[in-house]
Amino acid sequence: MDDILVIKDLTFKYKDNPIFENFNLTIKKGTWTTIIGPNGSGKSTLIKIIVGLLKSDSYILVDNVLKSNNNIKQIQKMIGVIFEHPDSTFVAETVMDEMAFALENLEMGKLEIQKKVKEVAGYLNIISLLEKNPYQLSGGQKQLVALASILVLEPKILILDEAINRIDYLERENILKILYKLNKEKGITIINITHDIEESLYGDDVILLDKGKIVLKGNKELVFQEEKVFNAIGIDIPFMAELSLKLMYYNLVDEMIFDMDEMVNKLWI
Amino acid sequence: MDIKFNKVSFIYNEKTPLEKEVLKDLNFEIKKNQISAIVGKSGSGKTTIIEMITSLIMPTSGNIKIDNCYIEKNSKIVNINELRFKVGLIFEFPEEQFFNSTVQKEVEFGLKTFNYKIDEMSKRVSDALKMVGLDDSYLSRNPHTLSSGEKRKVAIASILVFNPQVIIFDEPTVGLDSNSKRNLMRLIKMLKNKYNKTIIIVTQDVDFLHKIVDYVYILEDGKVILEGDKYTVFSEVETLLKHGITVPKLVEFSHKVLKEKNIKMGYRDEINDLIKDIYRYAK
Amino acid sequence: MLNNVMVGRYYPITSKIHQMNPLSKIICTVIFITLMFLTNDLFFVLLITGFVLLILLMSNVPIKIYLRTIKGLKILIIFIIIINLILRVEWQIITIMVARLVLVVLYTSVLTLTTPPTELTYGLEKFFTPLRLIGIPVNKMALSLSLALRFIPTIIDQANKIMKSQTCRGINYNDSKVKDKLIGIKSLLLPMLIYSLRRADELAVSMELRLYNINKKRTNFRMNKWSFFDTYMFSVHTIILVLLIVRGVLL
Repeated sequence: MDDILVIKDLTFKYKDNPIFENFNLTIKKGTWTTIIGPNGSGKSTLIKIIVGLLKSDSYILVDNVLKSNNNIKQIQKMIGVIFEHPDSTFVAETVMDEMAFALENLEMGKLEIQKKVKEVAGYLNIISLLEKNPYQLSGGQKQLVALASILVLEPKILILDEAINRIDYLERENILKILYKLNKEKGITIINITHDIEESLYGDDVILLDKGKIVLKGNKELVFQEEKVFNAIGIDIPFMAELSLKLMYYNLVDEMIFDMDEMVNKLWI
Repeated sequence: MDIKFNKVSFIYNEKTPLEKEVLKDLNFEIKKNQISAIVGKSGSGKTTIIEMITSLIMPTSGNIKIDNCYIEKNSKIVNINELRFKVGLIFEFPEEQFFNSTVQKEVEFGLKTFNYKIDEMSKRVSDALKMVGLDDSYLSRNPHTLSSGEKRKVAIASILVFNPQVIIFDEPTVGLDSNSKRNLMRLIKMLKNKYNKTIIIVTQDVDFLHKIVDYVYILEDGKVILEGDKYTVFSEVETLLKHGITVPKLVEFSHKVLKEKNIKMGYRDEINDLIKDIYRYAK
Repeated sequence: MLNNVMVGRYYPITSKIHQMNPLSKIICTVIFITLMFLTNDLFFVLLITGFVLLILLMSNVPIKIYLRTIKGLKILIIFIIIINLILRVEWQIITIMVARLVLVVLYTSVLTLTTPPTELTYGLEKFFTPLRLIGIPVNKMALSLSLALRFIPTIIDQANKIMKSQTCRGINYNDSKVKDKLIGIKSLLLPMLIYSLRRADELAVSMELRLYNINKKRTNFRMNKWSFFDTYMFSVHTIILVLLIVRGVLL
């Protein structure tokens, strides 16, 4: 598997406060990584540096393209970011116009834009929302619109910055399912930055970040075994991870099981 | 102090094309000295309810009885200032309301508006800050320079300083990491046990609620569809999931065991108790 | 608390007028205003009044809303009548003057009540396109204007939230004492300033990440169609204008 994102020796200061020092990170193509960490660990700063919103000369490779001051737009086209407050990201009065915005910036023709918008709207199942005002939609629908308006650019990486914590349960499940589809069917690499550790169960890898340093990184089955490390930083591990660990201690199961149905069947054969 | 809703209805944007009936003939009662939770999806009417309790908005029909006060459509609340000392409301993202240059000014602001005596005031401010876990060294700091957890604490303190009997929290866990959530849990428990406050929490975070709540109201489309103590309410797993409400993970697991293996384990608060149950039943 | 419904005075209902292309509405408005200032014929003004009433009905906006818009003109109308009576102007001319005022206000109300602010901006942008030839950045100005407009509901919602939050801390926004009013303003303005700047920053980020470049040319996707009804209304207005001019020239 190729690496889609490589960061080497990133050092970054914000107003004389060192945020990252010799920070290294590699993300493989097509994976779903969850980045978790307490407030102030540098998560949001990291995104801003990757997409060129904060200036940095450190070595950052995005899909084998080295980030420099001349190709920021090229990098930005490859990485889509969905933020916590979708309300602030809307520029248009209809969902269709909103989705067209990014393509307008590429000087794409009107008919081509219309075709692409309909295609993405169909994939996300939001064709019925195309004529609506994004500001009047529900929280989950707003994030779908935000997602749609980025997907039109066909990004290779999707970064979610605390984007789904506050959405109602059913809508959140819907978005996670769509992201799963995008990840598995289209090979889009997903990086989910969140407070809600349960979201990490949708992904493959987990990175625990604290004060600008990677404390743990790896497959979720392995990372969550380090319960003590998580507790030392004050972060909880997912319920099923905690349950698995405790049941492993009592020899009732012999591995990490994240799915409830699977766990029930393992315990009661 | 009891809070009772009597057939309360509320129509938002009345007599305009965007009219929407948010509450329909709502009846319920908040019990004293308990931690009550109002759980519901966005648009279920949760915010409307708490804004009515603090008389920020008036019902379109029906009335709300708080102590001896009736809040209804055209009534004038004789002593609205007294209400501020009885019911405190902490909004979602309360730190957005900051407009003073020091924590002290921000927290004492409410008291100042009501012309409190100055020496009494500083003691109240220190006490409020202490309650949320901040010492006096914060008094002279600019609230905008604090960390998000500290900002949230200052915002809470600025309402606690009124020492209200009823404290309402609107989505208090939003944006907080695990440590801050634990601190908040501790604070709410202390307010109930040590200070005998009545707490109302409006939230969707059931895993947070589950550990501290006494009584739960499930709200949908302006009506209470389920209410009771946490055991009663969260055991109705199917109903809740059908209405788009999550249940605490512990309960969800026990429910799966019941449904798939027909084994009824107890309703547990703590994961260690659940483990004991599993050990017992799985052997 | 602030009302989000009537901002921009747009009345959200469907009608043939609502569905018209904003550019055609603006052009018709300009033609209409020109008409009104060219005529001195009472009979013609009477006919136009009928025409305007027809348009008001077609717009499906309740008449009482239109009445509200001319309510504010009451004093001005009385003033005009009195001044002109003193100057011994003929009653026909006075009637024309008053009718002119009322009809122009009513007609432009149709425009603002049936066109959402951003549509209006789009229409104005298209209308002023010729100004680009003399170097005025019409489309940049139009984009700034429509972004500002689209923020209005966001800002109003947050302002309401802040006001409610501060009311819980004892601020009374209806208080008449100057000192308290100042505190009231400060308690609202400062948090709103911070909030607005933060949201503006987030918007800028979202636009930049979607490859927006203020200096580059970009497609304008707007799918506002020009329908038969637009051509029809445009023709009607133009014909009336032409007839008026011809009649004026002939007489």
